Amino acid sequence: MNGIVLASTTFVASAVEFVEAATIVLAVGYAQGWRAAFLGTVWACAALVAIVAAFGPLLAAAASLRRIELVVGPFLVLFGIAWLRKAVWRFAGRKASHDELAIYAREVERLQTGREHRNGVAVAFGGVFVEGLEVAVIVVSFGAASLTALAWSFGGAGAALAIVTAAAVAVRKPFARVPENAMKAVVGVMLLSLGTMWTGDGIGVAWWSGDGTLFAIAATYACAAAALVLVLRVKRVRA
Amino acid sequence: MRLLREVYEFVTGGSIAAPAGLVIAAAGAGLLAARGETVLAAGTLLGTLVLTLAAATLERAR
Repeated sequence: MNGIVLASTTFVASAVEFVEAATIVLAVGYAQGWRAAFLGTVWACAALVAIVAAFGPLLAAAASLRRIELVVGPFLVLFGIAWLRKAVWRFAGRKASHDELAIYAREVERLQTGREHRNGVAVAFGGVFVEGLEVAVIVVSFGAASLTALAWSFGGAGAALAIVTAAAVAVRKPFARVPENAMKAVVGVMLLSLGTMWTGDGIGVAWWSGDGTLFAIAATYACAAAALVLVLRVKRVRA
Repeated sequence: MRLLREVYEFVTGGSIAAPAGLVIAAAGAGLLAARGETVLAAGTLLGTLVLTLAAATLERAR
């Protein structure tokens, strides 16, 4: 499997989740001090790295490639559908878009009512860990194919973490202009496409042009998602 | 029981159509692949999963 595709997918998925985590960390830093925000973030990142380091190589070593594809492929399909349908709902106006500024204001208000230092560390830890857990699961799933695949997907997630952290430190404000929904749609399409290919490989189907079929599959899902947005918008207008 | 429900929600986003469609897609494509119709199996898998995506999206869109 193309390493750049894996790295790009985990990069975008991680960037979306880390943008959401950054909002919570910034709220903790503003309301309870940057030490609490930093400690919570570092502990959560350490926990996530430990999960990836422990389960990635373990899965890769546990079974043959074909058996692993049969486990990981369907899992990626389900994850991809969950991401993509949420993005479709948001594009169609059926679900509220993520408002980082509103979330930030709500978190700051909540944290200022209880100024206990440990509370801030726990909130920062929880925010980064919960948002990062989906990314860790995706990285581990990709890494199940091989250690090279794990390195590519881990690299994508690490790059996203570095960029989002640097941007958060530089601006010290929530990222209100990041096109989160479009990024979630891209991740959904890629997870679903990779999941479809791996499931197919696992059950022995023959793709028309090898790994290159991935882009045709992705285009098919992207068109289907666009059609679903149109259908939901038309239904909404008629209702 | 609650943990199982949490895991189900985490993996499927609470959808019923997605896991059901996935099972149908994999079973259909698997049967065709076992008979040697590997290209038809690929089309069946992709086509059924596109329908699954549609069903999962329309399932809760009110």
